[in-house]
Amino acid sequence: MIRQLRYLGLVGFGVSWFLQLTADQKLEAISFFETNIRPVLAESCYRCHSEAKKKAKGGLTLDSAAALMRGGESGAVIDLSEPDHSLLLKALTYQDPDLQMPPDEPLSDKVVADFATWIKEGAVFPESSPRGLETRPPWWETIAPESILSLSTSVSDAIDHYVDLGLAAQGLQASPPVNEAKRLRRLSLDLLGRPPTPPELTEYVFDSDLDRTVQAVDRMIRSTGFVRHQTEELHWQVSDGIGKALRRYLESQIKEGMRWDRMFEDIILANYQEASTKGAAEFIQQRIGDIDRLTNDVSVRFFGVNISCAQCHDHPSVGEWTQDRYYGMKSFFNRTFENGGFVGEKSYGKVVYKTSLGESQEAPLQFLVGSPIDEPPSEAPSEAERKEEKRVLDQLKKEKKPVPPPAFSRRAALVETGLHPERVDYFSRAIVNRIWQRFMGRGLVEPLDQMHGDNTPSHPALLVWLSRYFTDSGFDLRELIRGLVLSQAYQRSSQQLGSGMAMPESYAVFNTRPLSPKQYAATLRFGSISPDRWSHEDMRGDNRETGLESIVAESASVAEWFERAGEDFYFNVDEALLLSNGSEAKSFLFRGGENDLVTYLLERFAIHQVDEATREAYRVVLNRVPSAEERIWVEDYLRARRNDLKSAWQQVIWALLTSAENRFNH
Amino acid sequence: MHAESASGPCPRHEHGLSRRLFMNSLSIGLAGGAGLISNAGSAHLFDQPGLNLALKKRARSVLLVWLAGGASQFETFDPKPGVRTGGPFSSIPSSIPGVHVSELMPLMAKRMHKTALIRSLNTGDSGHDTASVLMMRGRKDEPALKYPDIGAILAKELGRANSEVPDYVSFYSQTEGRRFSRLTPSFLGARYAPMELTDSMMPPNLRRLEEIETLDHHARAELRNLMSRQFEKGRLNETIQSHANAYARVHGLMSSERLFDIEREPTALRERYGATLFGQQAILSRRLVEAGVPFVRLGRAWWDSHGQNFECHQEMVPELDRVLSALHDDLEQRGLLEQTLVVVMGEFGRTPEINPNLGRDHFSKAWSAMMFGCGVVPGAVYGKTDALGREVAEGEVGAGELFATILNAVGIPHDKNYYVGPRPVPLVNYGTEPIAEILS
Repeated sequence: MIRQLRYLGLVGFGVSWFLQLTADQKLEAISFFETNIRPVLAESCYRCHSEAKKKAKGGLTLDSAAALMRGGESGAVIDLSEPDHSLLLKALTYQDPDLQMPPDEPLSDKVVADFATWIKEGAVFPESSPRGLETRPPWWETIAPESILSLSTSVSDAIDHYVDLGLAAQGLQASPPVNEAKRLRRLSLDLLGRPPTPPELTEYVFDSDLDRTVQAVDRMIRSTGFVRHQTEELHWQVSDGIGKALRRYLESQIKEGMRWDRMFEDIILANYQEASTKGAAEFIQQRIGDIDRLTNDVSVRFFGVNISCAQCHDHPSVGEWTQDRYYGMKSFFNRTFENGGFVGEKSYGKVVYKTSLGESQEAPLQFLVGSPIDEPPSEAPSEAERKEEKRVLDQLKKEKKPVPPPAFSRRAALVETGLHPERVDYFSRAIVNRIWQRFMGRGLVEPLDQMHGDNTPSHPALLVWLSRYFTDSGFDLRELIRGLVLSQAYQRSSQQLGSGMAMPESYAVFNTRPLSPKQYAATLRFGSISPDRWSHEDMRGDNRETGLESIVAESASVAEWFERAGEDFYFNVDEALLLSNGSEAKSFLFRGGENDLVTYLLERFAIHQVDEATREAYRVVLNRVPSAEERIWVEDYLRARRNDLKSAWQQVIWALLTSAENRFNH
Repeated sequence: MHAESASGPCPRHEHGLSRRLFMNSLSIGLAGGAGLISNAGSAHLFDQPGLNLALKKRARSVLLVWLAGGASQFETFDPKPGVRTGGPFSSIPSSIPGVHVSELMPLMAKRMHKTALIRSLNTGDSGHDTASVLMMRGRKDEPALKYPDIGAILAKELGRANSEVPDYVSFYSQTEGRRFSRLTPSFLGARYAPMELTDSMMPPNLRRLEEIETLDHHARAELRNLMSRQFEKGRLNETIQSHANAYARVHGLMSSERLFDIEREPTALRERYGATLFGQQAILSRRLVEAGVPFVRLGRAWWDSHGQNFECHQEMVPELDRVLSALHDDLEQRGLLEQTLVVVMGEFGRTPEINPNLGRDHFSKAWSAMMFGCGVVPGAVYGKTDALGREVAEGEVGAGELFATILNAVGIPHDKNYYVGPRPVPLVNYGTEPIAEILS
């Protein structure tokens, strides 16, 4: 919610009360102003009372909160202590024959009542018009070239340079670096989708090599687990986890090199010629019944812009998102069709739409930034040509063959124009912002699908640097991720010390976020296994990778118990109920037998060794050492139940596994 | 400024009141904060009568009786005996002078003066799937935005954060399947997703496993809280808070297990509802709204009578009649009608034309819905269809108007906005108004 306020650049009169309102109330107040007040000001008042006029009448301007407060020759026009006596209301209600505004004729009773309500509620006046009365240059054109570091800087250094500048500017202090054990847990969850095993933890914590973190990261990035987890995440990013062929395709790409431009190209072209890229076609195929959805999904997922409102009218607050841009984007897909399960494209067809004024208009083929693309003229086929086309398509269908692409493919034109050096920033910024959001817990631009020129990032120069670097690197996601996790900003403690709260977009602390269903499921599995399990034959030497993956796989179906967190995520009670009372949860967490953590704790430690046992339990589940206080809690709990220690230990381990600390990446 | 509404059993202008409270809180904030305003400016806000009374916010609920598959309006609330589309059943006078209902509903006929009837729905969608979505969400989705359904909205608006009862319970019967329900909290998030009762009358995971004693179950949860609270220090974050809230609700919900136990109801009352699954689920629904569950969806399937429409309705309408009348009387006797709105509808009605299989097909051009209880005018009949029931003759309304009416009846302004990112999303499409004539 705070995000939206920042976005609107809100400044009200009564800033103090404004801050006391709930987020909903604030938005309601803004929405009231934008719907009922600003349009009237613009239409009926600004002719005479605007800063745009050289000489405003009566010295009064009504363009901003400050201007209203200042008032004109007759003094302040708004009286917040006695709203009903505000000069503005007196003028609008025509009470005083010498002061009647607007001069031609009074506003309707409803509008006057709206003004009265608005003043009584504190005359909230957002600082800039979201309707973009004047067009400002997009934020990326306002960055001083000298503030952009050389592209030869390392990713992590560049990140820390810009984030530290931001902290200094706000007078914020960064949290200290996170300790080793927690660092490894964080890295392992983000890169491999699972927590570290106790032996991995020991190895890392006691490694005296100064470069141990770089080595650990590089080891992880080379592993099978990395491919599995990044496939999972990218699949969600591209397609909400839908489409098995698409998933296999992404997996093969991640194995090969993780080049984002290639994935984009293969997905948009839906190329069936090569076996390796076939699966990419599933993205379009699943959306082919709804070209509007396809258009919007491509815009959102690859360019970070949600232009769906521009389908019916120009975007109300983003000047650059006009109706013709939307239909321009749609034109890249309007010739796309399905034939016998294959995605094909025709060589003709136009998009005609109705403007909000009701006129019919033919859409130009153009990318988000405007400037139509030249294409060879095309004509609708004659009756005979149509028949021939149908015959050919039927034949292809019968032979189960894909439709050959047309001489000029509009979708190929999208790939070309989207990756063209002059426009590629849209493409690179969008993916960089998404990856950043995933690893840093909050996008440089939020929301992720509102990456337009008026929505300034928290760190504009950083986003520019990162996207240029990314383009320059050949769209290499792996290097980007590696640089991100090696930055100090990523490796800070997630705990805010002291009293103040730094905003999440300051990156002064590591932003805590819920684990994904797969991450949590793996965490529950790894956290309920005997540490002895990791020294079995299948976990050693060359078997190790396969062995670890087999343990992760045991948890795959359990992921379905959990909800994937979106923005502003709130937990449903179902998860808590299931983990508290579900018999399937109990049998997953406490399997019994030699590999079970509780069995291990009972067999390995006598009752007088409860303290050692507690330390071991914390090491396995939370990957850390318990505090003195925590050791006492556990000891008391167990001692009170010493006649049924097995059940008591299960309860303790349950509490650890379901605790907030184990449910979040932090 | 709204006058305090005293009409109808359930004042629905509380949002007018909350607006005053809202402004009041602003003034106090100003006085305490920036020192810009004196208390005098806000004094009159306290002068409104009934403020204290209204401060005791009453729990309201909506019980949706969902006639899955589409019941026939001809054989229920809008009979046309004697015309070629009318079918074999006659009509009987109801307790509203001049208003007749099907002879299959003698019990509700005597209670029609307590209900509000809409006979002029034209909803424009005759596919089970899409029409179910339309009626549950009040409008069609956008390509890039799914709207939350009525239950999720009411759960959010009327539910309490730490409620010990579920916010949203949905029963669906085996024949309907979840296929056509498509219930979704969408952007409101999983917190407002329905608790769906599928093959059992009891929600899953409410009952403690036998292996753990009640005391230990509580102690274990305490230990979990203790450990989690440590973690929350220095991590102020609403998502972490919601995780704590979810666990905090567990024992409350577990104690609501008895809520789902209809054995606790007197046999005589259970008999009045009838010994059918629908009847027993209805009595359970009443228990839920009584306990403060904001939204319950009680499904009865499967009304899709493409063949043998009349046999089908002859069997199902009397059961519906019995359940609705028992539900009405039960709620009334417990004084719950003042805070409970019951809505009876399906995804559409059925065609005037009778097909060669003596069936009626899907029909969304002119059909009926019925409500009683909180916020609606008892005895109101809104709109009418033409002589053959082929078109709306008067007072045409669509899914959006009905949606807005339900919201208003329980005191939720239909023009309220949610926010998806910076974008305002109104509860109903702009320009959609509730049916004022049936709102008290």
